[in-house]
Amino acid sequence: MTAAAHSPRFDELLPGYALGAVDGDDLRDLAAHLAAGCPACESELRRLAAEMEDLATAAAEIPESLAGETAEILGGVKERLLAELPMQRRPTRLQEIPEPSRSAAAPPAPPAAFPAPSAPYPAPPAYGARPARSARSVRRWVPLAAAAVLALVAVWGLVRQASMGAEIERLRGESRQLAARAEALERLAAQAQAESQRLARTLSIIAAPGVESVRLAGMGTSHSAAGRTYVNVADRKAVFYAFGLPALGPDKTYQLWYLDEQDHPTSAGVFEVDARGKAALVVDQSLPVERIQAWAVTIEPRGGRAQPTGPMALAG
Amino acid sequence: MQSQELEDSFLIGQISAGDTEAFARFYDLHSAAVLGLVARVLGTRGEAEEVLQEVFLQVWRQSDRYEAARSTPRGWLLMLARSRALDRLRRRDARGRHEQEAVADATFPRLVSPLGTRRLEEVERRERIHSALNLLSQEQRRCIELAFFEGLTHTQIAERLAAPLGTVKSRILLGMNKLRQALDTRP
Repeated sequence: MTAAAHSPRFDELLPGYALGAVDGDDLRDLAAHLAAGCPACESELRRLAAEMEDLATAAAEIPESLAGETAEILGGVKERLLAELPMQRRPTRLQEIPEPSRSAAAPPAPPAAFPAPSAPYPAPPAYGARPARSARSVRRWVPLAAAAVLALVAVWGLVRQASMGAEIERLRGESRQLAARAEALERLAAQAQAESQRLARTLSIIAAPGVESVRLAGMGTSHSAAGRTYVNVADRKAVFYAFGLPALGPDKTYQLWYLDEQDHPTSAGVFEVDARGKAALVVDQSLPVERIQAWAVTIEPRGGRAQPTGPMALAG
Repeated sequence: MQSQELEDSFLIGQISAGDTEAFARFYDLHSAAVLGLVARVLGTRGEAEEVLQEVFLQVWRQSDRYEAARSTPRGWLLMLARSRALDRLRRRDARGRHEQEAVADATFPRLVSPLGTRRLEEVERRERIHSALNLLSQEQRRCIELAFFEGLTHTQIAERLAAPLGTVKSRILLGMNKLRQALDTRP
């Protein structure tokens, strides 16, 4: 609801509002207007508060029916009040009883239309009650009860602290495990990505038209091994596969060569075999495909050599 | 600021700090006015006594809520008393016990009673307010009394008096403005 701007209508309603007499749509509109903040209305309501005090003062004459009993009434109530005050604790902010007419956020409510709701005060003590004795009894127990509560809180705090320490350690362990697992997964993902790229590259080479295939046969101690080279003449790339090659020591490696018309070898790369003797190598350099006459694999020192130095494992 | 208002403000501050002597002094100064007001709203001694006690207990517990910018301490106290008395009146009406209760003298007194203990300053003030009230028409005064003493709204007053709603609104507005003009010695 949008609050209306100040208007003569609100000026006319304010005296009734101070009396608590405004109702219906008038009250709804005026309350919204006041809630939005109106300095003119706020100022007028302060003046009306003074007028209401005058009315209350005029009304505050003891009725004739009570004129003879006034001193007795006032004295009795005062006695009961002063006996009760020590037991009356002021409410904390959280326990405050709402008083609608004096809230800063709410519109200044009229004192009578929205009187403060009946507060949950304890019932006044009956005549002849002995509140002071009751208070002494309560005061005697308060320190003991407070000490017991503090002790319980302290024990609970220690237990809770130990329990929380173990819980924190357990969570740290879990966190470390999760971090290690995440790291392993990252490595696997990187490997899978590299393998995927390699396969895609391989496929792009061997699936093209005009690919020539060269079979390589096992030689020497690798006589049961075999290999095949797929040469893509169009883009001058090649893919090499080997099967049944024996595993080599850590200081050795297999090296692939291609030979031209003069049997001059040129390195096409080094490779390792897996546990089943298989290997794959993408020759991603620009090959002189017209001049290649043969392919060969030799066993070389780790890292490979510029020219073949070791025994031949495959040739074709 | 009047001397009484000055003392009241000091006492309210002391009450907020838990000073029972200040509370007793504040009670001595204003309890008769509170009793007079709530007795006129409620009409019975028993209820008036209970509300008188409730009001001052509320002062003890909530004196830190008093805002000097909005009213004097006495004005705050009397409005608190009126609210509590109207609460009690509404609860009584809700229980349907209105007929069984004594009828309250829910009007502004026509004369200031000559109580000997009353201070001259207060007597003069009351006489001034009564003079202003006497300037109102009977209809204006009745509408204001029904709102002030019984907590009736515009609509309820119109029903009670069998008068048009607009007429009731006008009577309250004109009556309150007339009082303002007669009493307007405040800033």
